[in-house]
Amino acid sequence: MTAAAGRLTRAWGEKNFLTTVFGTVDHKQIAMRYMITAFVFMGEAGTAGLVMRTQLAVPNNTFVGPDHYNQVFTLHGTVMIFLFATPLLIGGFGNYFVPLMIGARDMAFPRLNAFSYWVYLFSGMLLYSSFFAGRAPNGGWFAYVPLTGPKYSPGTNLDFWALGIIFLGISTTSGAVNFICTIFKLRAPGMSINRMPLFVWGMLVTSFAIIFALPPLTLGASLLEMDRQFGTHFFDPDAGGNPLLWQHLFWVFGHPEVYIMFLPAVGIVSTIIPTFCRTRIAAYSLLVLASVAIGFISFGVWVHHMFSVGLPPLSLAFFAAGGMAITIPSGIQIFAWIATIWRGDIVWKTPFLFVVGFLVTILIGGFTGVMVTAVPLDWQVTDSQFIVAHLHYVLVGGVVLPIFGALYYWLPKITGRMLDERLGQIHFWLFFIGFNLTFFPMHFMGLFGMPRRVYTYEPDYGLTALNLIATVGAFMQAAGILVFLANFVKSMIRGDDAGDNPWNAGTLEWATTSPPEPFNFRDVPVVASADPLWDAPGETKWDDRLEDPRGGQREAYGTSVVDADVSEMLVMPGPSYLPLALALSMAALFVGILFQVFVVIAVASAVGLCAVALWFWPEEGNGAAI
Amino acid sequence: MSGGASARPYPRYVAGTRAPATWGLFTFIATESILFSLLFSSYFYLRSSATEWPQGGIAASDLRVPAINTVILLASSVPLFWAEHSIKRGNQTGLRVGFALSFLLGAIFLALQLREYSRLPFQANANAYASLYFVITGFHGVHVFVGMLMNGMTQARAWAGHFDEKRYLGVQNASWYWHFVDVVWIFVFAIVYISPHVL
Amino acid sequence: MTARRGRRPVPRIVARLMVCAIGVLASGCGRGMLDGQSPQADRIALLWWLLLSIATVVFFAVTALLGYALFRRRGGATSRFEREPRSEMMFIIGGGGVIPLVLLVVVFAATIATMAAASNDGSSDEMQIDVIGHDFWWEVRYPGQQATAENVIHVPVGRDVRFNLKSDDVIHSFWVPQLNGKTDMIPGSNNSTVIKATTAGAYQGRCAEFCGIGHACMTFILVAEEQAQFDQWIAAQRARSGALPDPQTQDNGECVGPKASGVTRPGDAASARAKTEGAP
Repeated sequence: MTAAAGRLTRAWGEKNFLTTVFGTVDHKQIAMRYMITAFVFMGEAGTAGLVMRTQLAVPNNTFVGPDHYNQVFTLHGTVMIFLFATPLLIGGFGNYFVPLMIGARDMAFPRLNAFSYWVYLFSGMLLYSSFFAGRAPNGGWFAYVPLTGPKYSPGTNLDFWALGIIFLGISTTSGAVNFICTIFKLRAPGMSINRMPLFVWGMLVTSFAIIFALPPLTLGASLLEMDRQFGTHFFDPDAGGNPLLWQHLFWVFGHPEVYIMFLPAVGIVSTIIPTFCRTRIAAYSLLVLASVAIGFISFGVWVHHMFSVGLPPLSLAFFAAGGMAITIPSGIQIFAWIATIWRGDIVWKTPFLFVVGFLVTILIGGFTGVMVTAVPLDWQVTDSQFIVAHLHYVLVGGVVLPIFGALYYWLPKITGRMLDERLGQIHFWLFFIGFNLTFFPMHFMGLFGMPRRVYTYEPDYGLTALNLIATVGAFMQAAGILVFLANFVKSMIRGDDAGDNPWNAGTLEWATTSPPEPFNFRDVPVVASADPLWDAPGETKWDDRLEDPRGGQREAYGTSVVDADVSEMLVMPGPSYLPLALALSMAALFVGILFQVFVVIAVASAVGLCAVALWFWPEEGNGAAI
Repeated sequence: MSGGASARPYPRYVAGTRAPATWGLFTFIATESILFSLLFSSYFYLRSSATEWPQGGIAASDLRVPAINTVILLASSVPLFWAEHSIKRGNQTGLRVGFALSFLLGAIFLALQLREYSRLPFQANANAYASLYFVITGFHGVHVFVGMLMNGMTQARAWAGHFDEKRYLGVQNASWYWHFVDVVWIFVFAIVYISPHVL
Repeated sequence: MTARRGRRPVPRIVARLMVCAIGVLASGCGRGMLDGQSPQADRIALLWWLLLSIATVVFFAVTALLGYALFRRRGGATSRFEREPRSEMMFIIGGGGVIPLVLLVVVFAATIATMAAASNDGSSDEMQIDVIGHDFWWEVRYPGQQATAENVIHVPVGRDVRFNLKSDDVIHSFWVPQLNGKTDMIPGSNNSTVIKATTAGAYQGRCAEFCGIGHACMTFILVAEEQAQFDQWIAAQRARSGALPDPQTQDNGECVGPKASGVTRPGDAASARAKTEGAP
């Protein structure tokens, strides 16, 4: 270790075991926690999916009853969306790789970042504890009132859901704020806005989408909780409320949420394709524009989840057109990827395999997406198994396949070890075939009249064979994931050494060691293109002026928003227990509200306020310059 | 090894859009604005399908106290402008007095608001109108309270000497947040209090 | 069908699947939305076939392009896209932007046309039926005729029937796949949908919006029959005292008896109904 690296490690590294576990603010540590937690949740929600498919394997099955089934599908949807896909992409990949890809030493607000994770963990535990109490939410992941209101769901099941969602929203929102500030202000010198990696663009648009999309969810869940606990009447038609208000609020969030997951996934695809085609991405600016356009349009299409509620034809036509319009930027993306592949020399490795799988499945998900914006057709297929097929083609084909691609691509950077190629390909084929076996037949089930969210069906529907195939496919997917886990364990035990840049990729995360040091880069990169590592030698310069941290402080450059010219020195905060303390007090607050224990609410609020006060009290030599 | 002052020609303390924290505040205000706009949209959504408004024979609010409150809250922004202006010139007294004045006005606003609640003939569980009334004004009241906490925190830091003519980011952000809460009140006043009279 | 039925289920399933696959192409399998028996369902099915054709052609065209891009012979020479950046932009904007735009205009026009046809205003002599959703059964009222029913709806064949849909508790959705798309039944608001069954028969209808523990069992039979039979039925229903709650769910959410889904001919409905009622 060089002298400079030693000095930087003293400034950026953890002091001892306790601060590492409970006080770390290192974005890489936090990201790994996000990933592991998200995978645990995926295991649980995936098991829930298998329970559903087992129940539906044959007609009139009695594996689980309707009560249990309703809890299982609610948890499956809620957990997969809120606790797996979104946190894994944003908190996991985003957290680990956005700072690395922009050449930064950490996120803009490291303590807020730690806070986001703790809140995510505790809200997930809050949601899941209901399951072990036998009181899991049972109103579906979009929890339509009045079914979920106080009259028809009197137990605490839905309170767990609503409070868990509000609590988790705090984590997601603070994460999004953090990403926007990081991407705006902490990019390496020279990384002007037109040189940002496309994954970073995806994260930026997604973060803005979160800023605008989370409030309707938070508000809706808050109003629901007030209806449930304080007797307000927002959704109660007998006292002047309107149940459709919930649907509007939920889907103004719910539709952008699809793209909140999809845009980072698209960013992953735009990252993997050039690497394995050995060529720069085609039509960079069009791809950026496409992401931004999708982010915008996604806020104008929520009503297509409500086509059958009896709206006037004019608004139906408007929202049909809005939904179809998303096809244009999506088409541009697909053709830009094909052009890149066309131009390049292909290296067939597992990450690329997953991306090709993505390209095929997202086409199908996109077509069925157009079908459900065609209003009258939607009247037939909505709330049927056809929708289940469509949404899984978009979310599994469009999001989970890129997630696996990203894991094979980026895990070597995180662990320093390569994953096994052969096992990776087995994983891909098991998962890809299993996925299509599970969800393709569901299109037909829907067309034949099988609704979603039914715990059983009759044998004489023409559905028996289709359902059995789907169940077999579900277990194939699970087998694929087990192969992945085995692959991961194998790589940790005796995987090949990854080196700095095993794929010869062009972006900055590959310019540092695998795994990176706590300070990410010894010297600050000064970039001259979008793929700095592919530039001619000497094009990318290295600024060594931060090698000797003054007073052992965590120093970083702040750069200007558009051109990324260095404009100020930032001093980042070190490890702190305050994020954990604040998150814990908030968890106690939510539990207090859930069970209406006012002592707990009061104490938790007081402790939380103290934590906030300490947080904003700058420690000399270790505080953010607020 | 390089180092020394010449290696760090960049300012350590910045404010405005050069500071990451300001962008954090902007995005936070953006997300809160959406929350308030959705509350207002919900108000009009429920009102559009109502046969009478306010519902259930409730009389439209008396405007006198809310009007006084509007003046008080808008006035509370002025000392903050002055405080920010002062600290940029190194005037600690102006900073402290300005924040204290604004805090006081915020407290009067909240006290009057609570007095209004206690005198209302209905409660939040009466009907959808009542629920909206309490939740919109109450949610805004919570924001006033949070603004006052930020104000108190800033005052404490002012007394501890954290601010000077170069370091005033915390002052700036606390007062910008307060101005935001002020502006939201104009909408609350117009929608919750005035609109039942004129629309 | 295979000969050795019952002994080896796998071949039977395979055979069934093949029958279904052919059935899908011939729009016959499963008595779903593709086997429409009303002008509304027929128009929607037509839209489906249009969209499916476009999607299939585009899917194979794009995967063919992708396949070529992936597996084309790379003789060391630079590709055309590399030599002419302009042609690459034309490819991306033309293939990803212009062609989808043209197709979408077609799709949108077809959507609007179908929407008008499938949600038609009915005719002046349309018949009115009120259907009220309950947890977990259907209350059926024939306004002006003092006739009621539960979980069974009779309509005269070949006549426009307007269903006025309400809910007594949570949101339900009224769906007879062979006759028209869904219309939600929302407490506090009134929705309606028009159906004209062109073929006599008994059609499976069901609740399509998740409504709680008995959602899976919340089905009904819609019987379309000749006017004379219909009048007879109405007369019989009129003799009753009114609709009585008839949930199709036990307390634990499991369905009451076997569901009456195997009916496609008129006359079966009654026996199916008896089957349902006669269950323990």
